[in-house]
Amino acid sequence: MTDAAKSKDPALPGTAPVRPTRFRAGVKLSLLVLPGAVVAAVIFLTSSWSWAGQVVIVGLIVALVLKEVLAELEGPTNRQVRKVLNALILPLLVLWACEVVNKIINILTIPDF
Amino acid sequence: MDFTNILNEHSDRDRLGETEPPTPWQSILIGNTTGSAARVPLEAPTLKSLKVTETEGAVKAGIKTASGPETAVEPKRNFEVWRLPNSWNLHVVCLALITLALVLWGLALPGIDTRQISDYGLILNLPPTFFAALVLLTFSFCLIVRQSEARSVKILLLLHLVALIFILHDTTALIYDTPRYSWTYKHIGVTSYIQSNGVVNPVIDIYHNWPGFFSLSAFFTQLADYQTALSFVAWSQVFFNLLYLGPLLVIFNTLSGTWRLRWLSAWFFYITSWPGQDYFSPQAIAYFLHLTFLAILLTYFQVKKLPSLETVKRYLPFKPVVAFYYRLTNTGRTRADETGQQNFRPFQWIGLKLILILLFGCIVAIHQLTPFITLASVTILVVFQGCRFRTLPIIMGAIMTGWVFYAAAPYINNNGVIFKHHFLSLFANLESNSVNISNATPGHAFISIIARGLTVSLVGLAILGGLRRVRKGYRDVRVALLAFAPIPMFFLQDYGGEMIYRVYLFALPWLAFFAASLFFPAPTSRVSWKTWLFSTLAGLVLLAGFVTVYYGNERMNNFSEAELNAARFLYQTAPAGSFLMKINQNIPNKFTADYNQFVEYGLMAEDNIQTYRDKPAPSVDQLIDLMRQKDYPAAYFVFSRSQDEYTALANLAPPEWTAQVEDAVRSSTQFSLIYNNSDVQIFKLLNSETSRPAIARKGVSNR
Repeated sequence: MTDAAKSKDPALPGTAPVRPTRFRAGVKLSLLVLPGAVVAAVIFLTSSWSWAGQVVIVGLIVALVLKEVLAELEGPTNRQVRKVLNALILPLLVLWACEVVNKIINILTIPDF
Repeated sequence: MDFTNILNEHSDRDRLGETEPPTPWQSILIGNTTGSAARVPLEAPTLKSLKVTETEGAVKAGIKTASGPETAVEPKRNFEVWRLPNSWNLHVVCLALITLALVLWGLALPGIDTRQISDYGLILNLPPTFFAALVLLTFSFCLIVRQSEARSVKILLLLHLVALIFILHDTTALIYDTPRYSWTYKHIGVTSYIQSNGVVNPVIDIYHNWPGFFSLSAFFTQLADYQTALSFVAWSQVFFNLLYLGPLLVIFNTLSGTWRLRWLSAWFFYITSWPGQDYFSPQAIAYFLHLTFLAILLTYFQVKKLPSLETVKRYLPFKPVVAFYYRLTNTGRTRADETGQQNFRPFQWIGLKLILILLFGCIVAIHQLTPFITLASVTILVVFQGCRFRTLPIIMGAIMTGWVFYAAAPYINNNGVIFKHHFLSLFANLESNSVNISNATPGHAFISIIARGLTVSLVGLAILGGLRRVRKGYRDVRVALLAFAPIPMFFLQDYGGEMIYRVYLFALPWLAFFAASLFFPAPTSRVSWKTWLFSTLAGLVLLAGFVTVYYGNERMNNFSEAELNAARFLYQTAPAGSFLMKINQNIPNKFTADYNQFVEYGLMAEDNIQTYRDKPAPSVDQLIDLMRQKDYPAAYFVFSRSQDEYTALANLAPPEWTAQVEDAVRSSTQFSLIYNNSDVQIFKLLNSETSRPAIARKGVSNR
């Protein structure tokens, strides 16, 4: 058995992949969410989504569709790309959510005739 | 190979009436019931149902078991069982009945008087032969459903549904000279605009911001070498209803393996689809795409493996919530749900996913409301473990918001207040969707009551059918959730008072399925007289309600050739930029390629700057002031029969109101009658070419 195989064999004591604790998972999630939130704030303050919203939406759709396509394919390269996409999707989701909220607020605050 | 055994096996299956050969074409047409993913997914959850399944297996194997109606290979010939001696006789009888029904319908058409339609709609003008045709067709359909052989009657059942669609939806196309509904003409206008200019112009109106349907129509009109879509739109209702049949049968196939239930569900769908959203409109094609989308999703994207209790605990707080969710998602499952998925190749799965995304993209570009309901349906399926394509709602949400906020930005930026109206006001939206029948004419009130009765009847049948399914051991949780999915739309807005129709329409396939379940909740080899009698009676009652309601507003929905000719004259002679005033917009209007060149104005339209709805008739001076507010090159006032009918039926004003306005215009020296036929009078405001700034924007207050 190769070293790589050993390191993923849960039958061997001490070689199973380490499962992150809730705290670690939370930290990891925050690290992914934080860039999205920061970028969202910067975009809102500088351009109020006039151009960034479209980029965010197109980026999110492309990333999600690509991830779904790659999920059906095997291969180490695909796995690497999927990892990158996963890391990209969460900040994009945050940006998108901020944009949607911003747009809805804009509509709801239109003055009545 | 022993072919005799194979034939015997098929014979037994057919006798049970629940299985079909799994050819790809039949999977699409009728559905595959032999173990593929399309088969069992959403039913048979409990021990009881497992027993039934086992018993069926025993029956197929030719083993007689101890109990249960499904165990009999040969139905007992007792007083409860009624069977024709030879099934082919029945086929011939049913074919004769279909032919007779169509002949009776054909004979009825020339006898329908479309000029004398009362408040009760077309129903009083329909000759007895029309109703006889429908009764015969219903009787014949129920006779076939009672038949025990599934395989040999599929074509017959399909023929019945097609005949039903033609009788119900082709009647108006054949008896009227012009297409129904004033909105149809607006849609023709947008199509003609795109046909002429080759592009859309988002600043014109809302249609240019969701142009999918119009672009497609323009393309096909061009392809068919027609000058305008007016040539064929009268057939839209037949066309769209035929289109719905395919995805509906696939959906019902995924919901149940019982062929009787599937076909009766489709029948119930067509005889209760009264909101009339199947005319030449974006929502009609969007509805077809919505059904196709759900058909693919329900057939191929079932969840293979449900999350364990431990996994649910990780994601949900509170024990009762966890227990409720776990129970809800774990009911209605069979072993087939876990193992019955199609073994597609990766590229086939990718293709299916891309088709779904593409379909939703089309829906988004076609209609404003449908994407919200599709998204709600998919989200419910994903949340409650009915769909394994879990990122789909996010992709759909991103596509939808992208279109609404950016592609349709020209409209949203100028008319965003429309979306704000009654946002999150459930009770206000419900109130504005309810018709006040206290002031309506007796006929119109009657139609409204029948419409409500029809809806309540269907919902009542659906509840009883759902309960009967539960008693039989089935847990159609996802079907129930899909029926509820459109209801949150009431929180968004009232959709111009039409939300209730849309919610009903999108819940209809699931309600129809449950309603049909009342009569055929589970597979059975025989149908008792009682079941046959009650299903026939229910079909006839619902059909009577449908005919009453669907043709109920024909007094205002149909237009004469004279009205269309008058409208043609107006658009051909009026200079660009003219002001066209009417009592209301219920007239063929905006159907030309240059429709955006005219300013259309209805005195009673709520979105006008000065509406006279529920107010006294304006004086001629007030009318002239309105028509000279701007320097229009010309101004016209159009009176027509269908406008009067709409005013009366919608109870916008007393009958003398329109007459007063017309008399005032006719007797005024400022107006000249330039066109007159049996149904339309067009007056032109004299000297309107010269502007009169001294009186502009003055004196428009109410008397």
